[in-house]
Amino acid sequence: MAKTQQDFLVAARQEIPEVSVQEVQERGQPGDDFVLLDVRENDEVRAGYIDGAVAIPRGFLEFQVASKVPQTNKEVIVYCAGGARSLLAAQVLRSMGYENVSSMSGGITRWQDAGFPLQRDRQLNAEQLERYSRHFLLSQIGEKGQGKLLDAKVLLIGAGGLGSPAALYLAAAGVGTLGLVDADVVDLSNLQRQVLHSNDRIGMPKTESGKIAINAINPDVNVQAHNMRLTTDNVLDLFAEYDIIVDGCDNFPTRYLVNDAAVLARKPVVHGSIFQFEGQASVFKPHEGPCYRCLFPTPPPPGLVPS
Amino acid sequence: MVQATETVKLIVGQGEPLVGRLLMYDSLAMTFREIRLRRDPNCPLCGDDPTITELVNYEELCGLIPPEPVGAVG
Ligand SMILES: [Zn+2]
Repeated sequence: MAKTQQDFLVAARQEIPEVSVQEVQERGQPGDDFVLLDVRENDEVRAGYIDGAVAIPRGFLEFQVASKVPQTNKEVIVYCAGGARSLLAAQVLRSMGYENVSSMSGGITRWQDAGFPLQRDRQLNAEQLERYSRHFLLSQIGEKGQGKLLDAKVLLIGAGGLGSPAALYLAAAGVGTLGLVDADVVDLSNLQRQVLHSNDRIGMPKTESGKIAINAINPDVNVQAHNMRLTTDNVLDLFAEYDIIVDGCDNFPTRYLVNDAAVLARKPVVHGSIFQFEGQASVFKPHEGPCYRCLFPTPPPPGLVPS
Repeated sequence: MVQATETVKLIVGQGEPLVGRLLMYDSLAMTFREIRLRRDPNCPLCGDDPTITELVNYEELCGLIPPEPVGAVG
């Protein structure tokens, strides 16, 4: 006779110890001493999960567990919505060699009934779930990383040769706020390399032109057009609004201004410079690594112009 | 492209950022070189005993305008 769902669960209960939601709560934050494994589907996890849990949908368990929980001697507490799927998942883990596996009885439903907190990632709408779906396939980004990208505020110094590709890629990746600082207007001679701009926008401020290009790729992005020159009077107020500064400026006074202001404001600078066929890039993270002045304490004599 | 990638890495907190490294790219030779950089403890800005604690005049710093004569009367 075929086995019923009940037969499976009875068998699993004989093999797998169950722990109560109170016991799990008292253990505190998962981490070094135990792993809390959520085996529900992605959309269920999206609605709320237990802080610190590792999520692997039941259907992917056998394929992903080795990379997410490498040590088989580590204690694993599995949970799902009601406590049934987690029992069966725990059985699988045990057959895969995990030595210390238990199941949280009653699942996240009982956890919530007990008044324990749920963690919720930023909610992505249906369009965002599709737009960023390729990011979700990368474990280093995932929905969590996408949430961070959407919450991030990045300031691009210059909407020219370096700022253009950076702006387009960051916009496509879904960086939520992109600030553009540039005082120039689009010129025909820019278009050979400044891919943010276009023929029909010659004469338009580069910040406005950039905004049109960015929102054409991704309407999610809030573009702040700062159509002005960066000066000692405005730089610190502007930097205060952003998390990361991307320096694509084309002159030494601005480069030193950006560097000094970023160190004083403790903001990381993603540095780039190009001269003819040669380029340089680095990340200057204040006090964790060098700054531009650690390399070049003072500017070169006038006449040497970067671009 | 390198700048965008580094920015994304900083935001999501993954990978090894280009902190303390300068990547140099020569498109004619199509070569990449990397040099290690260290924070200079004597850096006037981010060193252990900084002498620059506020913004300065950057046009002047870069020699684009002469320093203002002391005591000049307009
Ligand atoms: Zn420094």
